[in-house]
Amino acid sequence: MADHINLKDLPTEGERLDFNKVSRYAVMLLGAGGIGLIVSIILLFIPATQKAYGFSWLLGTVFFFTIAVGGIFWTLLHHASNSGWGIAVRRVFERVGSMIWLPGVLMLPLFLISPVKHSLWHWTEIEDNANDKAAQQQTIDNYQAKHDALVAEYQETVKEATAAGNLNEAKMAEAEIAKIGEFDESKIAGKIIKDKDAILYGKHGYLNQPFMWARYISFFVILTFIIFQMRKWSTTQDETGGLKLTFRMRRAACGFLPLFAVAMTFGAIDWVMAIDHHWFSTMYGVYFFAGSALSGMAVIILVVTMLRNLGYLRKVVTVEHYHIMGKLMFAFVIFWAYITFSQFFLIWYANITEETKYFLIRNTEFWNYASIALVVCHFVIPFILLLPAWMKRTPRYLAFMACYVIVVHLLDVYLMIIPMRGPIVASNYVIPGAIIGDLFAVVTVGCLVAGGFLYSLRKYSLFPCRDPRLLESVNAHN
Amino acid sequence: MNTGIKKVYGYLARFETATALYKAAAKVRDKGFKKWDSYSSFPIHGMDDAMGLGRSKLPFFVFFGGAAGLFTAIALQFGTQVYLYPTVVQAKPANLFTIPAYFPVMFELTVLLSAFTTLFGMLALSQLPRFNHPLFESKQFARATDDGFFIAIEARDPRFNREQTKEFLEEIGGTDVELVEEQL
Repeated sequence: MADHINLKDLPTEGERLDFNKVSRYAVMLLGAGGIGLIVSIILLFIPATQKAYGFSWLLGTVFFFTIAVGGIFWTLLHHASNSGWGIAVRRVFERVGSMIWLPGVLMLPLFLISPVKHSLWHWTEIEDNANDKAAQQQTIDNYQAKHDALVAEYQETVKEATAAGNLNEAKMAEAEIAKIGEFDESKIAGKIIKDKDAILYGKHGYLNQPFMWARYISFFVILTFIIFQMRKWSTTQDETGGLKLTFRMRRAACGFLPLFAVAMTFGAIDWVMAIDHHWFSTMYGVYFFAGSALSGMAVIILVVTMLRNLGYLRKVVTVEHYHIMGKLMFAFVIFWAYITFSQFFLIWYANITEETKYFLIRNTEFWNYASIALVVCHFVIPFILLLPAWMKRTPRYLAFMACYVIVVHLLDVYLMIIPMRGPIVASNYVIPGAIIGDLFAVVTVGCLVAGGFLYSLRKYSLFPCRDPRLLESVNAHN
Repeated sequence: MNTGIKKVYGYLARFETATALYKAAAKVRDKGFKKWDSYSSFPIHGMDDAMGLGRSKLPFFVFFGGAAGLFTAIALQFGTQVYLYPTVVQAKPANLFTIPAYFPVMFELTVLLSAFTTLFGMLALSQLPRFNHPLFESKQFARATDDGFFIAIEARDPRFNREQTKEFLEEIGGTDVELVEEQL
């Protein structure tokens, strides 16, 4: 341990980012993002483009949502597992995670603009139509006609039976009429959706708009609260020091993890899986999570590399940290493949009609090339490239791999969302210019998130300078 | 069987603490000894570097073990169910596109043979299991499983010298330096 680092070697007050170094980029990013945002809002309001662009905008926001969720996950896991090595890079975890509020806010137009909402989540359209007065009256009339016909039939029976002297049968028919009772309009209310979409009727307890709004708001409030609270404790420790906050964060992280899991899983189900409300997969939450944790770690590696290139964290983050982060990224490449394959495999093998729909779209014709590319580029290539230890111990190379992983993760999210834009059997179905819209939305949200992220770096030290176990992390070894 | 013939195995020196052992090991490494080892009752973090061991050769073998498992699985499944006797199960085609059905076995055999190679490769590389070790001749060496920290420099090492090595071990803080002789 010749290169053992002592507290004397580290700046006691931590390192603060000299914002002048990055202010130019931050302003440029936010400027470009702002212009993009205005254009996007306009595109979301123009009837000709809003349906196609709604999917693009969902892609952009969900993509950065997954990255921020990854940041939250690594923060919580770091504390819950009482990890020692991660202290040096913990602040980066927290910073990446605390961008979660921005995709949440940017997602808002999708819920507010009715035609966009209807094209994205078709079930909302069915529900809104069911609430339509004329449609309601129509359904009520239909049911009333059915009711009256049934009652008339029994009355006919009563009449015939009485004429024939069959009193027993007449009594039974009268009992039936009493059982059917008067026509009651209020009982029909729930059946309107049943008429339109029987599957949605079964899921209506979950898929209804008041509950959807409640979930959308509460999930983002929960996730934002979790990460802001963790960051607050962590930055308070920069001033006070001591073990008390370390213990508190560890305890809190264990409590936050289930909350985080629920918010993330049902968020994925609400915004992505519910695009096709007939389809379901019990693995969807964990599938979404695998990609989130992977891309979150990739972004963390990139941010650490950026800060080191700017001249920070030089003594705190060593090649050992890169090795560990590389191993975690590698692990989640495999975990993603495992989960994705499990989801595909069970559906493919069982071959049950209501489940195969998802892969019927994605594994036929045009989208099949993208799906096969996903298998090769998201698993085979990074698996081989990240396998040797020296590759994980070369920061420049690992940063390149992190960029690569982010790009293929974009392809993954793209395949979750975009195929649903076309008709169900999409034989080379392309909306002209839609792919430009997709890229534009991703770049716009990316500019806003990256700009906001650079601004968030101004405050606080770049590493937890008074964490009692900082030296354990700085001298980490694996 | 005791033949009465003895052969010098090497010097054994005891250290009081794990830290002392760690620092002494770094000095032995810097002196240029190759045939030597350190003994303690628990793993000491960073000892690989202090002893200058470098990376293990094991991953190299494990890669081939895993690859052998993978190709065994491919051969057994594709060979039997696609080439020799094409079998249609659950309306799945008997060609390359049935490959998802074969993944579980491919995965399991890769893991199984990797694990076997790791376990038996580790045993082979550390020359285990063995019935005896020359150091068992030393009475104090029993403490290696309790509270003793030892360094043994073998006589096979080209730098070994009866006087100088003993002095060297005492110099770096070893106590109870003992010449271990094995029975032939």
